[in-house]
Amino acid sequence: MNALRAEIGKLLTLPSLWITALLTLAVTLLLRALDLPGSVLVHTQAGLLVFGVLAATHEYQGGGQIRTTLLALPRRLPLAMNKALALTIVAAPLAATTALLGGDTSAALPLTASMLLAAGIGGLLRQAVAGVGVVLTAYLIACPLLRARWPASDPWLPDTALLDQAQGLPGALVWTAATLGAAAFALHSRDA
Amino acid sequence: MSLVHAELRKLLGLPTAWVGLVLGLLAAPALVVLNAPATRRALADGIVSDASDVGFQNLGIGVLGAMILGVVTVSSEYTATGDDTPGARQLTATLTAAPRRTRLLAAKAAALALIVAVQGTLTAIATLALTTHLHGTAVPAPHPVRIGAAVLYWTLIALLAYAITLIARNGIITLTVLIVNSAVVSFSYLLTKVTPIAAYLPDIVGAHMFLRSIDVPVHISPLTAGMVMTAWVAALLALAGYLFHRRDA
Repeated sequence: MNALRAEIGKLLTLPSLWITALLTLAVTLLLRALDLPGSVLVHTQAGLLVFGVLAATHEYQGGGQIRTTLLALPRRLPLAMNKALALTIVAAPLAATTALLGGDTSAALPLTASMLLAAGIGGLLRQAVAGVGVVLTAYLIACPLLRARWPASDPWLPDTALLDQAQGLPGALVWTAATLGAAAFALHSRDA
Repeated sequence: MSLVHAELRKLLGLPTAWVGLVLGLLAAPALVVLNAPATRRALADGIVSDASDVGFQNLGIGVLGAMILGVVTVSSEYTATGDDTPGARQLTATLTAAPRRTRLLAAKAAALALIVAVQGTLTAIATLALTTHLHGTAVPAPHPVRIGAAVLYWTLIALLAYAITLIARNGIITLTVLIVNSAVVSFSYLLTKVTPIAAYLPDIVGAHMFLRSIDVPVHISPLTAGMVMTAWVAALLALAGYLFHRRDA
């Protein structure tokens, strides 16, 4: 319980996460006001994905906070679980608010899943810029191209859930669970 | 000259730069092959508004590699050199060796522009050759001036990424802004549906240099497009240069 509270505390006190969250909400509102064609969430999910990557990579930035964390909590799998849980608790309200401002409240769940997936990639790569590059390229460029080329791949792409929940949510949840699992395994087996 | 040489070697020594180089080189030709059946059908049905755009369109997405190169040129200097020395960055060493900041920025920009121009030329030739090979006479032979314009677009986008990263001193912001904008349905493109002025945003106006059938509310000639985009990049580079000159490293 203490470990979970500590992880939530770390997430809530990071300036970069606050800036990302507030920028995402502000841009969502702004785009809503401009009345763009299509859902604005397709664009502003980028901010939430960056949030997920930063939440996972911040401990690996200069200074290597992760080693202090591991000194306090040497058991790595419970640590990974606590991190995922803490991020879910922080990410769900943010995703819900973004979805509300974006005008599609049902998007809260897919957005939360995407944030956790981004965190999984961040945990695997341990590098914020690389993580952001990979996640955004996958969500905004690779997936739409794959969908256009092979429409049958639709239920298996992680970003489908945002567009069509019934079709894409199971796939998105599988992706999220698999990435988080891989990140936990990497944390368990790699040198910090 | 030795400064440009040093910057070239620094850039080519970065693993991330090679990711950008290889990604940029492969993405556009791969897209040509992937989209070939759909393109062939569209050409046969006559729904392609300008057949000469067919090969060039893929270059607009491959430009992602050039963007990554522009970002890492700067962000590599600002990354902490080691876990135990979070305050030590390569930039301090660079500035010790080359204290005149404007010259340093110019050398970095020259090295970046050189690499991206070579990358852009190779990619454009490969992409267009593949297009001709796959579609034959259905697609008119590409005009050399348009290939040059496409390469100029790549170089300018890389310099744009370079300038934004210098201003933000953070690769994440640049990558987010530029990837959101080069997405399949680009954000700038959507903005043009709201206000025609958005057609003059740097990334979308630049594409007019080598694409003819962009669906925007205003008509922009290739020459105007090139000048507007160059002006954007020059303005951002000037701002970046001013800030780099005035701020503590």
